[in-house]
Amino acid sequence: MRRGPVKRALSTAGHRAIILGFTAFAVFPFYWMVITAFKRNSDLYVGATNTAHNPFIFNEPPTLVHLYTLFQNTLYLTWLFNTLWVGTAVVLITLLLAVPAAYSLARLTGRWGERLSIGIFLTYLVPSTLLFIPFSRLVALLGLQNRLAALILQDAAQGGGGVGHGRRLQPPQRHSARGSPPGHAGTAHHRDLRPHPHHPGVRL
Amino acid sequence: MFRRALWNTFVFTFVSQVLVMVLGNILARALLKKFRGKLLVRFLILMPWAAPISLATLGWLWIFDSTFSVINWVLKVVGWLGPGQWYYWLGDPTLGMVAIITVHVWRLLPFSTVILLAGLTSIPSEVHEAADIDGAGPLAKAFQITIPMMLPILTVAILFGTVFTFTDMNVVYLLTRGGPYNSTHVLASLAYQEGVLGGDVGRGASIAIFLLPLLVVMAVLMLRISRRAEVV
Repeated sequence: MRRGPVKRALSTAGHRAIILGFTAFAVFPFYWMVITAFKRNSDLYVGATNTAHNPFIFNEPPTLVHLYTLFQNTLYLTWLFNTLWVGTAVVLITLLLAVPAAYSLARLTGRWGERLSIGIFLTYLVPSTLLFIPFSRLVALLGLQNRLAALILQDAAQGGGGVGHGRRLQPPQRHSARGSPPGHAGTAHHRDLRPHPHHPGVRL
Repeated sequence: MFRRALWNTFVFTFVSQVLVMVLGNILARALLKKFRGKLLVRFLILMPWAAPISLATLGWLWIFDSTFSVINWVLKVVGWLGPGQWYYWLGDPTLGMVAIITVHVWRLLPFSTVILLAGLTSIPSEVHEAADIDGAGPLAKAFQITIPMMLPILTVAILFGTVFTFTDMNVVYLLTRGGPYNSTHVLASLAYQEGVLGGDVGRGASIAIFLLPLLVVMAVLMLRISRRAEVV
């Protein structure tokens, strides 16, 4: 049965509307942040009750004054460097600890292997606030207050839950012997679809 | 305050997960079709997941601002808000919860869409073709083919989304700081406020530990189902 041209046009329009709507929803906060960063204060702080003032566009010429303030009057570059330094250190430490742990977990078969991986995986699900509390004591004991090392320690501990993924490192021949179950054929197979709960950008 | 935070935790998690699953399904099905600019659209839709949630929430903070909210401006322009009417998004308990749920949905939608998309593409086209030959309608195909075959991966998406929402404190803390009148706190943000900011470590730990039994059950369930789905 062939669909008529009207029905087909409606279906295409509906599909485009869905795509446009979701894309706008996803992108709008970023657009808003970008346009806000380059707007003059006199263009920015106009109450929303003034309907004559369109907040979606530049009503006055764009300015770099906010960026100038950021680079000249704050320690932005230091903070940027701190972010890079902590990020790199955490990734290195996590990889160094997680890869051997994940491999050994993958080789550990039977009930104990499963229980152990579930136990380690728990850290992955614990809210960071729960870890902040004991860690504040530990950081104080180690004398790391107000130091970047405290952040590295905290983030590495949270990231360590990734070793729970160790079961995915099972030898490939075991999977090929098992075959694919219904509802699953390769696309998600062995691909890490799980992000870190507190650093969502790093795992997708 | 604790009971309210507990209730909020469940409400935020449940409502945002229902919305994420429904919207994620619609979006994943739309992304399955071929269209021009598909790669760009996929990239743009993934952006909320790739951005640090704390920075993205600051953007939302400005969008929901009581005085400068762009949402209120739009509602005023289209005539939804009459003279003297105003929405204080972060100053009203109900609207504050709506704002928090909106940000959670915005953040988790790409994650669920990617998982659901993977599930949808994993269903062999021959199965649908065989169903078409047998005369199965869209509903029959949905309930007898698509949903059963996607069930393992759907469960994984729900469980991960639930845990992420359940354990998150960033959105609540940055958007409303638990206010107004501590009405939008969740367990994670309350634990942080009491234990770290308030200096009452014992109280903060007891609030945070309250989550553990639930998380243990979820973790076990999640790993069992993940294993069955061959995602882990």
